[in-house]
Amino acid sequence: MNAPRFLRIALTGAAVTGLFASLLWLSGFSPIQIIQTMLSSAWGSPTGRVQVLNKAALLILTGLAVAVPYRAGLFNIGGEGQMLMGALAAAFAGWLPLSMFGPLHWMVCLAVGAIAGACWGALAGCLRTWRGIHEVISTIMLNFIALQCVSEIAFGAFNAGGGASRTPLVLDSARLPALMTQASTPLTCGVVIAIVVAVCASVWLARMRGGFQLRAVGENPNAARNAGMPVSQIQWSAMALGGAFAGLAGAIETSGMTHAFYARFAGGMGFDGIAVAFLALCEPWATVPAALALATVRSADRSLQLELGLPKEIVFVVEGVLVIMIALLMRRRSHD
Amino acid sequence: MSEAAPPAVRLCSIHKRFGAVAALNCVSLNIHRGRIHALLGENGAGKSTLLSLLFGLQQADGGSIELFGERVQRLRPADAMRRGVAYVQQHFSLIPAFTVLENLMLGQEPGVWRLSKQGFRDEMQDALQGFDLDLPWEERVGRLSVGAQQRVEIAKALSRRARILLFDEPTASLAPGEIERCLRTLQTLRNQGVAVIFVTHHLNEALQIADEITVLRNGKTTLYQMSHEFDETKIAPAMVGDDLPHETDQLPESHAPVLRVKRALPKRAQENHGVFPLSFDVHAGEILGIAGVSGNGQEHWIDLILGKEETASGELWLEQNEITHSSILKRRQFGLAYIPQDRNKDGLLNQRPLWENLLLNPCVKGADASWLSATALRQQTRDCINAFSVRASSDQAPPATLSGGHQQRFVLARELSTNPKVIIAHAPARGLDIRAARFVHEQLINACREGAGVLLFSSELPELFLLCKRIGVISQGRLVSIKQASEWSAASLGRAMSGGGE
Repeated sequence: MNAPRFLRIALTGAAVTGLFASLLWLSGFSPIQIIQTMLSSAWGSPTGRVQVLNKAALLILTGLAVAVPYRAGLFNIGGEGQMLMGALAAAFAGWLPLSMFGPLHWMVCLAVGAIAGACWGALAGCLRTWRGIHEVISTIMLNFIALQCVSEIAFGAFNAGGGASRTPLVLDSARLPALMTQASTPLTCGVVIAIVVAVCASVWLARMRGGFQLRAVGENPNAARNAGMPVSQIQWSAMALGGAFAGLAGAIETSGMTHAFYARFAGGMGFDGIAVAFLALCEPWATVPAALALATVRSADRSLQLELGLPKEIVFVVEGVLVIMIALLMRRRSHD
Repeated sequence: MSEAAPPAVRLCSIHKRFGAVAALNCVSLNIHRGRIHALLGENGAGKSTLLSLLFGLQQADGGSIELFGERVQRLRPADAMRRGVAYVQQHFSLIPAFTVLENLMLGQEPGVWRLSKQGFRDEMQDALQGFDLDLPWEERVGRLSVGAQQRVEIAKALSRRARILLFDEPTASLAPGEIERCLRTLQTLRNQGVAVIFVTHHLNEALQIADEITVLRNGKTTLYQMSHEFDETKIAPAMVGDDLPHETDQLPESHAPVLRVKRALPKRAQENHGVFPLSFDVHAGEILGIAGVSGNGQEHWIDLILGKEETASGELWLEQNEITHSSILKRRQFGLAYIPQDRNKDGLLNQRPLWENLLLNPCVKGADASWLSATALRQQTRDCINAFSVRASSDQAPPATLSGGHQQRFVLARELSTNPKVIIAHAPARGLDIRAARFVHEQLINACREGAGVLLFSSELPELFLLCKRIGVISQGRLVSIKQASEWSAASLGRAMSGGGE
């Protein structure tokens, strides 16, 4: 089963490129030139590279927030809200005077962010297992609730003061260590954390009992139940796990890049996770290349417009078409 | 009907292949109006394929189909219906929330602006006069018995002027009492000049009402007889070939009780009053049969013993362990095995490799380790595959690539390989051909020899009499009585199953 899955992921990647190229070619642009522009603007300069990698770190994690619950048969659209919760919680943990713990402080920040996201995800999971409320509905609603709650807090009780639309800055000890500081923005170790998490998630799903149980519930909850697996518990745990990934993304953003929680923050990163997860066919390790690809395209959109006169919205169109295509592909697979 | 009129259906040397398998190989049939034609055969003999060709659900690869003397090509269900063919499948295409009348109106709604129910009802009553269908017009279909729903389905076909009715195992899901009624309906249809074709694997039903019998085996016609020449001793071998199932060896001796159920009542059932407290013992080395037509509360009892449903009152004991409030996992670890009725729905991960499916038995060695050892599990899977001769390409093959019989072999291998103490088997041979069914039975008897107690839920009388020393009956949620198999006759058991007392 593993080889075809790998092949399928590779084929999907090729299809993406092909579709992208032919669409552009049809609308009168040279695909090669575009790819060159894209790669040079995204990867050509140190600043560009750092931006792509920092963005990819978040996309990997929000991708996992969708991919892992999906393997348990649950569709987590709540990455956005879970990420907001994680970001705010990390901002709070980073502001607490915990400097005496040294480098442990930023780790605590990330952990607190992940836990906050997990709670938000588990809430949707529990509503599903306890009262049968579909997780798509509840996570969408919880996104709105999260957005309003965190804005209220960031503007109110936990405001930096002086009319700022953000929380107080986190302490230096709560900032993610940088791997590189040559560029104007530092490259944080967030991307390393995200890759490690993705690989661990893949290994866990494929080779460990917990991961197997999660997949068994996704494939056939009746059979899983007859085998003695606690199906409800596994379902809400899967949602909590998804929430933890998104929360971790929020924490990395706060403690690594913005250093405070800004009220208008996530900006669709949670939703981009859906595209990443589907591009990766919900295989955790594959969110890494998928996130890198998406981050490349995303961070190049402005230069495409400036240098080639290409409407940057085309990026979103291609992305949308792609996600639908992959959804169709996955749908057919489940019917086979 | 005069023999001079063209037959309602004429099939000439029909061929149909699925991949490398010939589902139908040069089959020819004539079916006349006013006759009942029974198609007999084992599972996979090609009976259902023949019906779906006639109704246009599939296309034949070769040969010709004539309906009322007219050659038809590339038949589609819509054409078939227009030409008067109707297909009553095992799963009805009725809307449970609609009334009988509304279901009949579907697709032929009388008015554009206003549904004139009364007018339509009168029209229907005229059209169906003489068919003795006895329909409760204003009752919701979901509240009717399966037999009555079947009559609604027939009425629907007749209201569209069907003159050829195809039935796929019409009695499979009916209680014995309803079976009689169903057969009577088929006879009425015949008397009114309809051509009736019905698929069955119950020989006695065919002998009772059919005018002609065709037996299929491996896609070929092996026997054709008219009613005056019916000969049971020829039909049975034609169905199964020469190797008729022989009696199993002496059933093993039974010992101490392994599963004790003491006045247990499932919680959910208490709320809707459909199920009553249950008491019985299963002994080591015995197969206790629970006879019952599906839908009489078997699922509740299985869920209760398996732990999927909470126990409201009473006690459950597995050997020396009280399991009344134990989790499913605990019970299974104590040695409770489960062979579900629908393996694809309740017992397998159809798209995952077999070795992962092995993990659905929590007693398998290595199933409780947090790091799964693929090598060890694959080795165990290969052992299972070999011991139960499962035809699978490898331990990596997903169950979806196995045939139904071999999927069932794998489920048995998985559940029995860990030497369970109690085995709950729910219709374990349903949908299997005779060879596969016999294999299942032999394995259950083997498990008994090794000291397991088997609780067998089944509606097949031959299966129950073949395997069980004691047989109980479940009817409308109640355990009627448990007696030695020798004290039951087929008639008394059938009566008890249909709720008619002993």
